[in-house]
Amino acid sequence: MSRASLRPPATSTRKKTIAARVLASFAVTVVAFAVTVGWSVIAQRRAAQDSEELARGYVPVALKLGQLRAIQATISTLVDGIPDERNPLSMRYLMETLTNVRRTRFVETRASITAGLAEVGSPESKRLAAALSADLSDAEASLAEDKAAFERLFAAIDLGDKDGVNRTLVSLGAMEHDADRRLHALSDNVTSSMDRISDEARRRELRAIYALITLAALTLGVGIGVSLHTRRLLTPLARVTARAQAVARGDLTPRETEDTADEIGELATGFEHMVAAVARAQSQALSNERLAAIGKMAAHVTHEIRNPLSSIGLNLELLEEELGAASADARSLLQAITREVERLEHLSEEYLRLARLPSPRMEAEDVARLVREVVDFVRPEMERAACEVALRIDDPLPVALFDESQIRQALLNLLRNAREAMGKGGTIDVAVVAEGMSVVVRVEDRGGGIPEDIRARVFDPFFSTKGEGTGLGLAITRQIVAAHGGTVTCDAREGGGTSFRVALPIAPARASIVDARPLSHDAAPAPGSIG
Amino acid sequence: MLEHRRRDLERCVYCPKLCRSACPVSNAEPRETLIPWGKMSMVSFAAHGDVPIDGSHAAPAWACTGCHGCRESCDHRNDVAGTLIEARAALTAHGAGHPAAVDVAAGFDAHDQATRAAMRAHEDRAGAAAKEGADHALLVGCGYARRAGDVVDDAIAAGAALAGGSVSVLRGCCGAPLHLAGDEPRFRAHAARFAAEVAGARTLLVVDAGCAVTLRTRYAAAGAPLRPSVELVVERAARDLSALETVGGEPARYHDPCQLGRGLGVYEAPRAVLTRALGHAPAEFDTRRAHATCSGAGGLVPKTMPDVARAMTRTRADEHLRAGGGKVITACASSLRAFRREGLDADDVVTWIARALRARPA
Repeated sequence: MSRASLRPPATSTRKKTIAARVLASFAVTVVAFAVTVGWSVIAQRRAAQDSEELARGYVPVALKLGQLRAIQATISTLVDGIPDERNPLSMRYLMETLTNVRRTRFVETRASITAGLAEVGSPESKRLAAALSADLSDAEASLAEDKAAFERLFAAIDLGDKDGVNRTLVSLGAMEHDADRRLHALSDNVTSSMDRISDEARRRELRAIYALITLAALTLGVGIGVSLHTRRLLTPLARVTARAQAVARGDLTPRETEDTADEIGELATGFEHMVAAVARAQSQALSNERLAAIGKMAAHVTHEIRNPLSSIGLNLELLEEELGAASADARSLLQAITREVERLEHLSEEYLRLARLPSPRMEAEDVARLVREVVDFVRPEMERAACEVALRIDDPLPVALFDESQIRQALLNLLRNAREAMGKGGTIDVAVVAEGMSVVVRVEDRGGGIPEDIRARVFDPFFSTKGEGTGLGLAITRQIVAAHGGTVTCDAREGGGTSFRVALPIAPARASIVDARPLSHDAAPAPGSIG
Repeated sequence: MLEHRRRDLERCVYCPKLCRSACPVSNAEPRETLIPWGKMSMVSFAAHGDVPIDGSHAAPAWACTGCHGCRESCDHRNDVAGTLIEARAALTAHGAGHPAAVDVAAGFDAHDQATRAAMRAHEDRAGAAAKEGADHALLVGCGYARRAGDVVDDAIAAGAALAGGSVSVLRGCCGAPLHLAGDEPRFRAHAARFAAEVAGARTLLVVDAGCAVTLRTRYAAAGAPLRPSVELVVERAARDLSALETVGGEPARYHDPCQLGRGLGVYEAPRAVLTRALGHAPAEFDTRRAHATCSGAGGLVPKTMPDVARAMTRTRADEHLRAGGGKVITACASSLRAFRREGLDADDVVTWIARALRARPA
């Protein structure tokens, strides 16, 4: 069995199910068994037909013919002894009785041929019946004159006509012995036909026995084959079990899956996908744990740096006063140091905001009002940058749940990002719309846009495409929105520029103040929130 | 008709007739219808409906002495005699009984009364030997009672001596003539009466072999089983030969009765008894034991075919005379009577048993 790389389960490409294969194997076994039984039944039926043909066709004919022959043989024997008989009257009486009985036996024999052999027998037996019937009629016809001959004989005996007796005896004896021979031939014919049927039945029986033995052996072979086939079908299951045991022991290394294209293959593939997911989750957990530790350490370091920075800033102001009218170079150096200290203080504040973002206090508020206030707030600086904000708000809008101060911060970050993206000024589109169960705020600039490979990283901490900046603004924005159970995405704007989309869940009916809790499982990790 | 005998009948009908010369009847009357094949064939044809059931076709069934001679020549040991005697009953039931046999049946009651009267006279003469209610009952037989009275006295004496002093003498006939005549209903009725009559006895001693065969085989078949055990007097005597004294006598030849020999298989007992009583072994016929020639006195043949029966007796007598003559001793009332009618000096073996017992020292 070949193995394939890890691939998604595809039930549509499944060739045959295990159940279908087992059913097919069972069907093959049943067919083999049915063939054996069927052959046996056919053989038995044929044997029964032979037996019936013999019992109802041939045996009655043979019996009746035997009785007829016995009577005829007796008459033939007695005819020879008539001259020696001391009581001719008794002999005459006996011969009359015997010839009458013979006539009855002829009738019975013919009836057994026509009613038995000709009806129940095979076509060959029917032909034999016709021939026997004709021969029997010939034999009976050959005796047509014997009654008259007997009368002549006994009349001659009564008269003491020895010559007449002898002449009649010769003709009568010839007649009776001829009939005897004819009946003998008939009997031989029936006997040989019975022997032939018996021999054929014996041969057929032997053939049936050999065929049954062969079929039984074949059936056994099919059974063994089916058993082996089923065992082979289920062999991958043992490998899947072994794989599960290995995973239980901690072996999460990817493996090739069984390419069996059946339920076992699907199980193996699904299992490997699960193992891969577990491995990824485990790796992510390790990474998160590591990041959390780093974040905690960074927050501690940042907190410890802020106090010296404050002291440095204060001392720089004192030093600037002391320098007075010192050389311009010295003052220039001092101002450079001051700018760097301020930048460090700003960076540390941003970082601490990200790391120690407080839990939002959720209230049912009107998003449109908040957006108008933020736009009004940034309008002066927008104008200084030659930017215009075009605001569009759907009416009516549902109320959303959010912490006003945090969402304000997030929107400020987005608007300022847009302004910075449009160095030459232009129009920034801001729209507030209702989409499904969310209120969406869309901020679109008409700047140079963000390449697709970079767009996926814009929400990462410390990632920035600008020469200046902390690289924490969008990270904070995403953390805030995620803390509200919403989503923020970055897409390319049609016609150039970038479009940010913030979706906040609408407030449930009668909700006023709700404790903040994460509403989505795909919220970005918050390094500072740990510890 | 005779469906239960069909196999026996067909065995003969389709047989090559090897028993042709074994039948004393057809030997005496050479007719094909009288050989065993002819008799059985006629019965078979009648049973099969091939011939009408009338007197002429039924007559061969009465041409049998019941001697079982043909059986000894048959590889199948076919029971011809038994079949023919059963056929008599069937043929009689169909109104085709032999006239002489019908007469025998019709006169049976008178025959039984005559037998009883004769036996009563002998019983009176027997004195203490005859004791009503004794453990042992004695059936002498109608053949002796009516035709051989001398044997009856000897039989009572011998039976009483062998029984320990006295016997209860049964006066009536066993009913064998009814059975042989084919009157089966009356035979059954008579058998039932006779069985009731002897029910009080412990042992039934029987003198005549024909009576013994009837009691041992036909009574049970007729639904009248006997309570006492049936024992032949000659067999009882042979059991203790020391009780017999040798009385001596002229040369004697023993004739095997058909019913005692081929019927019951008793060949040695009479010879042993006679050897003891005579002081020497009896002379033998040329045909003896299982091949002994029938005397022609049985099976009602003396009634149905008297001439043939007489010829048969003559044949046996001639055989005796050719062998040297002298006394003939038998153990069958019918044979005894036939031989005496033929002029032979004939005794019954029971007479010699009585003589040997009487000669015993007191």
